[in-house]
Amino acid sequence: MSSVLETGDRTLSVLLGDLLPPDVGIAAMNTDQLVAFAAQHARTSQLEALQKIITGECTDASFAALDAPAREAVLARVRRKHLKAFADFFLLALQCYCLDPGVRQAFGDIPGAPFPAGRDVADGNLELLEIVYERGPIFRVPPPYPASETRLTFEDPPPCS
Amino acid sequence: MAKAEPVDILIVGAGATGAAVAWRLGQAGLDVLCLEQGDYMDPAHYPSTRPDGELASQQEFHVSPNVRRREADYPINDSDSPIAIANFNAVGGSTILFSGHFPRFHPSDFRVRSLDGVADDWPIDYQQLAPYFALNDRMMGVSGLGGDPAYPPIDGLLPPVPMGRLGECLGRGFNRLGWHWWPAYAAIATRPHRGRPPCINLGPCNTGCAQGAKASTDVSYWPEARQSGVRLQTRARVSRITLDAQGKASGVLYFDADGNEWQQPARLVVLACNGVGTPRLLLNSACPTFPDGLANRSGLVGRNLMLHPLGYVEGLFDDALDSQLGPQGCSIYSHQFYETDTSRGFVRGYTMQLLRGPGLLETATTGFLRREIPPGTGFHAALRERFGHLAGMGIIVEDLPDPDNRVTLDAELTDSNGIPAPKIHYTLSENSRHMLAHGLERGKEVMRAAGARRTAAFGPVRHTGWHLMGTTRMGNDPARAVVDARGRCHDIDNLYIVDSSVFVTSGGVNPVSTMQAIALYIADGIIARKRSAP
Repeated sequence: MSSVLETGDRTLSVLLGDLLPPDVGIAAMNTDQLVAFAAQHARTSQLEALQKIITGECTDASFAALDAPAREAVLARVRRKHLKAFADFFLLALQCYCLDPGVRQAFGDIPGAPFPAGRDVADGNLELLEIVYERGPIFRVPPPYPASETRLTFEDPPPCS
Repeated sequence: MAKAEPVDILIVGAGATGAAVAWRLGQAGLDVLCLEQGDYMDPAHYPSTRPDGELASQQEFHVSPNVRRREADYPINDSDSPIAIANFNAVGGSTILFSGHFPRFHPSDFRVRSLDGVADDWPIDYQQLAPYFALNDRMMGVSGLGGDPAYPPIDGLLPPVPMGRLGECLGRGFNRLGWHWWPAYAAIATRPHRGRPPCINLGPCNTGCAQGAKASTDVSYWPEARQSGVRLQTRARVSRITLDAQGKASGVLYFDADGNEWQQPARLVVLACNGVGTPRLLLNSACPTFPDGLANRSGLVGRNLMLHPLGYVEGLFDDALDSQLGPQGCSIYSHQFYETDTSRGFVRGYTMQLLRGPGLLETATTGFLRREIPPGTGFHAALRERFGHLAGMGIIVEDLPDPDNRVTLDAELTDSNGIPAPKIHYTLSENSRHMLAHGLERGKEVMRAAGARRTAAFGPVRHTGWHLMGTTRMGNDPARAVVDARGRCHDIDNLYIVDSSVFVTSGGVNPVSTMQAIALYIADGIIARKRSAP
């Protein structure tokens, strides 16, 4: 089987469209972006492994040629029989997807690192603490040490700034 | 083997306690050299400066040295422990990755035997440490709010880290139950402090603070320590401590970055390598005089390892809590269940530490793995329902000392210099299990009281072994302790230990504030000794 980096096989793009479909303000996941991300992290084998499994599950037609209900049935079988390979693939796709600036923007995760201006945290209402304060101390005061036990002190500690 | 110029005081380790001791000794004008196996970190490369920062926390900034495998790291065999060891090796040590949550031990934590009939009392107490807590707070730049009924008065704090909508929401939940809560103590500057800029919510803190607001010791203690003349040598991995003919510490052997071995003579040696690294070094320094490990006539080097089993509670809220914003570990906390109440079925207690919610990637991946966020058409709606709507809570359980929980040397595993690696033997006690179960249930209760529509809880969480304590315990009796009340080894009087290895008990709070206060206190003992007999 040729590499997903080289083939014109549409399995990957159709698969990503099914797993991470377009949403308000978010386009479908870019296949090239995922392939590059996988290569950067030395995980191309995880893309190829799932592609191979899916191809093996599609006996009459290619995955990309199936209609949506048929693809859903194939994916359900794949998840049942090859859970780890499916999870590895999807977690890799999520890593690429959730770090995409457009996706982060759509979920309100921008501003964020590395430009946090505007990423403000509300102070919160400190008056809520009055009732806690009014209940008084909750720590225990230990009994004094026996007189026979001397406590170590350093009578002339050096000054500090 | 090359021989370096002798020094008066040699510190091994440049992390939380090594930095504090170096600064204090340097201020007193003493001749100090610190050897650190890691390097200086470049904040410009921290994950918080990158859009893919969340991913880096699972790779080169992972909390486990076994996953991270940076050049400075050494492997740790923790396969015999439900809790994996977390650390970081660099100038600043594990404070590079710590969340900055900075509570002190309670006064009762030093008198466990007297108050609760378990473990042992410490030979030092809260009152003795009080000036050192205050001094350390000034150096680290600790924020918080005075008036906390869980503690004796604490003054001089910077304004608290904003609790956010999340903290306010949970605070209302605590109030509905009549339970204690308070804004977190945080080693995070909320105003410019000693040359450090304030927090700007750049990232979650625990992958390194590129802003320099979080008080990792590379930006808090070390700049001032070096200004006072302390020398810091990086990429220097100590393999063993050497003895002279009189049985006193005479220095160390170490490997430099190129793998060359050096002999570093010193008149006094201070260990600051944490609760795993310090016993590892002592055990690796076995010699004819100490065949079972240096300073180990008591047989207690490596024993009584305490790790703070950590439980995790999560609540999902309909309201947007903006929980992804703010310092990850510092919002509010509760000590409602900190002091002993035997009607609960266990002794001692725990902290409830509110955590900010996960980032977008972690929300998506954990949601998928728990089958709460389905791939396909329901994906985006399910992710929107959770991102910024999740509250997390850590349950930090006090671990009592048990001699069978210990650090030994692995028979096969070594670091890149061929030095035997540590092996962890650890089991949760029944008391810890009961306490953890209690904390998880109370955590869910407060989440529900705050309005969570769904809760989840589990523990102990595996990659949370940050708090490494007890493996060279402090005590007045040489048969039952490795170091005395001054931090000096009973067996070798010019060998000191200043890290959390010396803890007699673990308390139920993050230990950095207390370990640094103890380190400063021990440093003053060294200074007094040097002044009386230079």
